[in-house]
Amino acid sequence: MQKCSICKHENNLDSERCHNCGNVLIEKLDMRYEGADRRSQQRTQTIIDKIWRFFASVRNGMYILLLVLLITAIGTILPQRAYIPIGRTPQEFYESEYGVFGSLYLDLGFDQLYSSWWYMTLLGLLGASILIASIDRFFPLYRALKLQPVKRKKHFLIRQVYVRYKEISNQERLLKQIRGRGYRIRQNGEDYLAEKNRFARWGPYVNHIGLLLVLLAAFLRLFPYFYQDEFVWIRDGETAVVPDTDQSLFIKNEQFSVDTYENDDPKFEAAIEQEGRSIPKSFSTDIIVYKAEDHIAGETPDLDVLNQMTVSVNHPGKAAGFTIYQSGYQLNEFSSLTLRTENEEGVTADFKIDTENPQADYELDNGLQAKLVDYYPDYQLDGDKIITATKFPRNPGFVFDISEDNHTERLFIAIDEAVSKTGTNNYSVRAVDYDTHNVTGLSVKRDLTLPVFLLGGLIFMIGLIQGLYWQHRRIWLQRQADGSYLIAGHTNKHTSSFEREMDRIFDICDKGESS
Amino acid sequence: MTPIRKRRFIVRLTVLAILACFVLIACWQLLGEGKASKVEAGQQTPDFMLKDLQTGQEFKLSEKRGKGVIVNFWATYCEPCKQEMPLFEKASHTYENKDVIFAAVNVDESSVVIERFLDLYNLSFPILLDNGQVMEAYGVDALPATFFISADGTVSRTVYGPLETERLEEYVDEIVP
Repeated sequence: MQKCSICKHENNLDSERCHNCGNVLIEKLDMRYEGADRRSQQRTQTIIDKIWRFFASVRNGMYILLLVLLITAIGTILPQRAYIPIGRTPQEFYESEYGVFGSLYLDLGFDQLYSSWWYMTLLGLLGASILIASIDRFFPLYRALKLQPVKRKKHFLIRQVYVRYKEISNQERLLKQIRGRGYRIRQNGEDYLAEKNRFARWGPYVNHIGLLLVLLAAFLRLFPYFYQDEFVWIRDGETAVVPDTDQSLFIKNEQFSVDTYENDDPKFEAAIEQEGRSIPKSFSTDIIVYKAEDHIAGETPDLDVLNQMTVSVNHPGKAAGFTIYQSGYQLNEFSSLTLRTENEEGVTADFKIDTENPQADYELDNGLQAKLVDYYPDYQLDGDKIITATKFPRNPGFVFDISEDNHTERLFIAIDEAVSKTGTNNYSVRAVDYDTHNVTGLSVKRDLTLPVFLLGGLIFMIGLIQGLYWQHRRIWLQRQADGSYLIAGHTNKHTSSFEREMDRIFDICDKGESS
Repeated sequence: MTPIRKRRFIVRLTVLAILACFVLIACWQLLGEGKASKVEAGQQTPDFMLKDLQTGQEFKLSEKRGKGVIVNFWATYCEPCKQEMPLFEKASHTYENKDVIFAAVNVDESSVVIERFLDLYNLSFPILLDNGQVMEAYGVDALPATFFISADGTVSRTVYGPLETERLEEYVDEIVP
């Protein structure tokens, strides 16, 4: 029995309208899970059931997803710690650049959000929600559809989206029509069930497997075996150890080169002039990759050549399970400087200083002596003091004592200046020539998670297409006592298109009869 | 519990336990990230062998077993190093008879630069010239960094960044054999 919601009159379960007031009684059945309760909705008993029930809820899943999105977005407001300028401490950087908000951002751990344990935990909760909500729905639905009978109760049928009562004179013709539209028909006595595209119902679950694979790939990325990302700067001619390889991998930079666009190239001339400098076209490094024998750190190891190759932008090389990318460069470090001295008689003499490891004393042909007192490879002024910013000869400055017989003069000499520090100026010294070398920046990466990401994405798409482009449709034909048929139809989406399909089937049948 | 409920309970428990494992492993891995390449207190120190600029001899860490060793990574252009070095010099004399060795690993600057620095600060303990490998082995990416190594070769204390200089003696006392 069912009670009318307006006049409270008791009606039969299969009445479509209230016998008393005519109110439409039948509510459409929620067919998402075949009208059955999901298991998690049943009475819970243990704490495990309660946790399960929490994750099985799509609403909770949505909340988790929104939280992940929100937090992910917050992580993009300020630069992550990995991208703050080299040499600045996070504490100082965030506070001075962004004030109170910056400090708060740092204190709450947003500066390293994407590698924080709590962000990973949130992703874990999202994964749990996807997995458990899927398990909780898939298995009951699978079973319900697999075991569905041809004969259904009348009150199940009349609560479907498409319900008609019809006389069917030519049953064969109707069944042929239905079959012709891709339905498979099962028969039980005088009743029929036609069904097609049931696989579309699995779309969301296939899609979820794809999502879980993506999350799994993110998980695998945490392990150096699957994912490693190192960076090395190597000067021309130098050999450097690749970090975090147990000192087993060395790379030698044989020669770095930059190719620039021709300044008189008719196509780019205007653009280059506007930019005011030559524009790099591509850059590449000839490298040799070595495997090092076991050795104590600091010792010169025995190196076995693994691979010799040229890496350039967009054309990485592979060696020892790593992919080596050309990813940066620094041009024109000074490798040597040639200085010209002039004694009191005006006789000149040149000498060359190796910036990597300069010699301390120089005897010159014009009778002068140069003694290197101090060396600043990358000099800059700090107040009135000269300091070096790094050990790299980017802007070398030298302090020399130039002497002849008993007279000594102290001079500071850089590429474009020479300053006497003793006040006297008997000898002139200036830089007349220099050699430069370049530094190549190589990314050394291993990422075995990419195929997993790709597979996850592919499965995700398959699930999406499977669920979106097909509809699961069913038609029940139930013979009534008077010989007519109750026809009920169900589709999991696109009701109007389904109704059109049904109407067309019956139209054709009806027309066939009249002709 | 009915058998079906019991089975359901076990399935749910297993799924939840596996998920919890994933999250715990991920967190563990993340909390340990970056530390993997760093040397931690309690670990055995990575051995190294470098040339001592003061004597011209090879300095091999594993040959110093039985003595406490302080290994400091430095450069002439690093400001905190300029404050730490004279303190090390003083301490190296104080602890000379207590079997504690100071060793300063330089980032591979030119010898002229280092010698001027040694003259300026009057340093007499071993100055070792790195080729990038020892810094890598100790996971040092910013200067200074100081390691206090016990006589048995285990790390007693690591200081990445400037020392709290007033606590230097306290730290050194921990590694006196």
